[in-house]
Amino acid sequence: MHPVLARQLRRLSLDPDTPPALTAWQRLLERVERCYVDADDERYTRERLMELSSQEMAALHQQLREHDERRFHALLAGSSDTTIVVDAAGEIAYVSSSATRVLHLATDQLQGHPMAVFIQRHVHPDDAGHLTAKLQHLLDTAGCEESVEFRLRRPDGSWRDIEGLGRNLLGDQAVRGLLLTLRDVSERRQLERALTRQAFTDQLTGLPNRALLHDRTQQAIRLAGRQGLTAALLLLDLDRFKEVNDTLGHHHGDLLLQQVAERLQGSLRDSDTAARLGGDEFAVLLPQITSVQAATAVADKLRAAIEAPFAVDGLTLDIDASIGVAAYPDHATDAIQLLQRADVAMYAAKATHAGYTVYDPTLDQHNPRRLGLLGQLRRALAAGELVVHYQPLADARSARILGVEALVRWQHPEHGLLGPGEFIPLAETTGLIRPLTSYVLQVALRQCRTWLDAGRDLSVAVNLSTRCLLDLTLPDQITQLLENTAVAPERLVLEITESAIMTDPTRALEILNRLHTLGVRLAIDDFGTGYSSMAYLKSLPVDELKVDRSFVKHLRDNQNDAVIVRSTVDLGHNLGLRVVAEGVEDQATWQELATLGCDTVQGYYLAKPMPAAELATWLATQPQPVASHD
Amino acid sequence: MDVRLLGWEPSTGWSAPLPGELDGPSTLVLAFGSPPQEVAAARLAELAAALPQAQLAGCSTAGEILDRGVAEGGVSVAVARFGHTTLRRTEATVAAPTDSRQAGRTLAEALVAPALRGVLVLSDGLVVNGTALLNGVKEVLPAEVVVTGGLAGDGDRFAATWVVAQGRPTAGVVSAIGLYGDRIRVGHGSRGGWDSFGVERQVTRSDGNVLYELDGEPALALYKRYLGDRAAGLPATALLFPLALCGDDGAGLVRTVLAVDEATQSMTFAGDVPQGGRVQLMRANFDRLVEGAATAGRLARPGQDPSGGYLAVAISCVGRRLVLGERTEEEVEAVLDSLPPASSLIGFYSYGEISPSATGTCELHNQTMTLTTLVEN
Repeated sequence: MHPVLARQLRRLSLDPDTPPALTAWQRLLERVERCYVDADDERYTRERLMELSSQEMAALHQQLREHDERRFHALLAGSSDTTIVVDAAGEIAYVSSSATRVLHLATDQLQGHPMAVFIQRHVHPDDAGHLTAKLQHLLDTAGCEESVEFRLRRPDGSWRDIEGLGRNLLGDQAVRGLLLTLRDVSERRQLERALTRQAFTDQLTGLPNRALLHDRTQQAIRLAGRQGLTAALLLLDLDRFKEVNDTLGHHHGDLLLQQVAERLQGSLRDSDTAARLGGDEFAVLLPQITSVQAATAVADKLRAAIEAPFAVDGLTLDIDASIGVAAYPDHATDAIQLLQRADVAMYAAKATHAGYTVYDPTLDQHNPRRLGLLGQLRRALAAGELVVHYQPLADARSARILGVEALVRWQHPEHGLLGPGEFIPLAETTGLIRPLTSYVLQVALRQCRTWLDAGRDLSVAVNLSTRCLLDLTLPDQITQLLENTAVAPERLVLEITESAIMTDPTRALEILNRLHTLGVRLAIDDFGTGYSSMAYLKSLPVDELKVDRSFVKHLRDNQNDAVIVRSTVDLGHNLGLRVVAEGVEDQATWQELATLGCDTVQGYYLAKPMPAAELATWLATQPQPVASHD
Repeated sequence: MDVRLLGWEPSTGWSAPLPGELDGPSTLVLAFGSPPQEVAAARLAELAAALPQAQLAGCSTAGEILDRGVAEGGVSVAVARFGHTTLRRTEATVAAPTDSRQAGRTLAEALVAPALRGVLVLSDGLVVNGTALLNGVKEVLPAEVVVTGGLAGDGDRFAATWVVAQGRPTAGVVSAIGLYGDRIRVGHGSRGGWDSFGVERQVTRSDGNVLYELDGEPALALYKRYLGDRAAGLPATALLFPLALCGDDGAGLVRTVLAVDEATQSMTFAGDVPQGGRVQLMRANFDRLVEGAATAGRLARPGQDPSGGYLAVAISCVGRRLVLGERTEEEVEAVLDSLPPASSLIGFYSYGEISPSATGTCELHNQTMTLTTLVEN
């Protein structure tokens, strides 16, 4: 018997085996009925609370999930990247709301649509095939991760550079697709392209410059070597150009050079290259000729083209050209040698007024001035004819003098004061560059010590040539010099060019790292004129970028140069570097540079390079920085 | 210690002659009943006449417990004459919930003495804020004094409760009996047996023991949704879903509903429901309620069992009675079965129980079976 029923019988004093009287029976029924009602109530309550509480649990679960999703979307929406998930069928299953900003497309233009349609409608036709193939490869390969790059058309018709990463996450239950994170890299690419163009183009004439000529010469030599052909290099130097410049001014000189460039190009085949090497020096590369004789025919043609009178601003100008011809494989085995030989031949042509001269080994001796200078340089070094001048650098905002750049000059007994361009390249070819650089470093550091003793805290910058940069003994040598002069390493700045680094990047990096560890500051000189690899720049232990004077010069009237300077400042600052502008020649340019965020300025507007004694007088007129004694 | 149990029922009158022979200043008379108040007054007068020197205490109920039985509409009486224990009785009035703390202090100050071992508190069940009352008591009494008791009940009506004061049933009163001496042992045990269920909710608006909102929703609306058809039985049916106070602050306390207010959509609980705290609804599990009662009985047996058994006072929550219904007596039997055979059990169904918590300080409990055992060495 159920204990409840047994208790009910007991409470009513009833015997389970004896039927009760009517009153007792009714009381028992009342109690039994109460039990049934209790059970019904209890069941009703239990079922209701189970239903309601499971509804509440479900709602809470949903709420948490929505909260998570909202947070996730907010994170993606705030990102500078946009995220796209492409499912196994190639359909865009998800796109983050930042797509509106990054891709300039509404999410509903993407979500739910096949990726192929997106590519067909918005991706540059030249990139579509490659992108499609890469996405297919990514979709087909579990766990695969690859970078993607393409140009995207904006609604206004302009093209943007998009870069990103694709990851196959089909196996990831949370994604189940190909995850693409994309960002707009147009600004960065634009700067890279501008710098590259700048690096390979002569600004005045639009012709390829020395760097591009060198590159093409190397290619031509490789090709000629394979095909058994001849590649010739013609070096042109204009006669009497200096007179034009001196008598009519730079403006006429520049116009003349532009016309010369046009005539040179007009006389050549498409496969030939005319380049301007600087000043009045031009070069022509003939990559595929049958013999040296064919090259001399071109030389005649070029001379004829140049000898015809030029009309410049209403004036008729007559000039001549001296041409040196050298050819591969006849005279040289590589591009550098080919240029040197053409140079020798050109000097011979000029000396002999021969019009053009084909290289001959015997000519090497007949370059009297160059050979003469080379011979005298060693003696000059010992005789103290090499002097160091100092050009001040100032803080762009406060105009406080921060330091100087040491620039070497040759006080030649016969030729007067020679600039570094006249003898440094010579020194580079002979190994004299090492003692010369040591000498400059020593003089500059001693001077730095003298200033410190006088209470002037100035850093000193010294230029390092390629050969010195690759000199493994350089760090030790500098350590020694710093110790001897008791100058703190951070007061010494070593300026190096990108092209010097790129000659042997591995070795250069090793030496730069050692110098950096010493505490010496490193600056990239002439930034923007060499081949600028942003990725490589990041890996260099440099502290400063020196924007090349050519960009600074036209900063205010050339939009392209302004973009380059602004981008370089941004780039430098992003990499944590100070940015120095060289060649500041007027106050307006200085102002503009300060506005652009440039840190340091240098140029004639501030001061020309000057001897130490003269500098001391000049400094006395400048705001006095606080000296720190160490 | 000499104990007699007797009962009064409307149809049969007293179950035994009133034991006048046990009268004396160390005699305690406990009377718990739920007849109409004038009937109760008459019975109390009869007891006072038969036992003029004894300390008479008691209160109205939501059901009387006597031995193994649970009844309604009658009176349960225990007469206990102590041999080595002194008794002192005191009362305090509570006109509004805000008087509660001071009432607690008043009672404790009247009783506090070095020999005080235990205090049995019987309180008005509707006006008093039990938490505040006990806070007042705790401020005065040393921690080692065992405080137990309960809040008077009024069936499932929640309309009018009374407490015996000066021998008469009186509303708005709290009474306390102090037990003094070296030989008295006061045991106690309290257990619920309810299970929390569903989501945790935040108390977004409350004021002391008045709860307005949970998770921004009127608390009364939530209860009505859960009760469905049974909402018609409010406030009594709200007892089906006590509130568990969650987390460290709650310390596992349970709160039961005393009243609802449709106008403000609020609910008044027997103890505080702190704003900002978290709560969870609870539900009954029949077997666990009965098991909880048995555990309370076992906990209330301090040390070696006395040969003559205990006088055991069972104060159980009206909410349990509502759930257990016809099976209510099962928990009373479970309590009695967990005590030594010669024990005497009296008690009532209450609107709140008072007993030390796990940490030893006395707290207001709800939805529990709370047992106090008295014995002299």
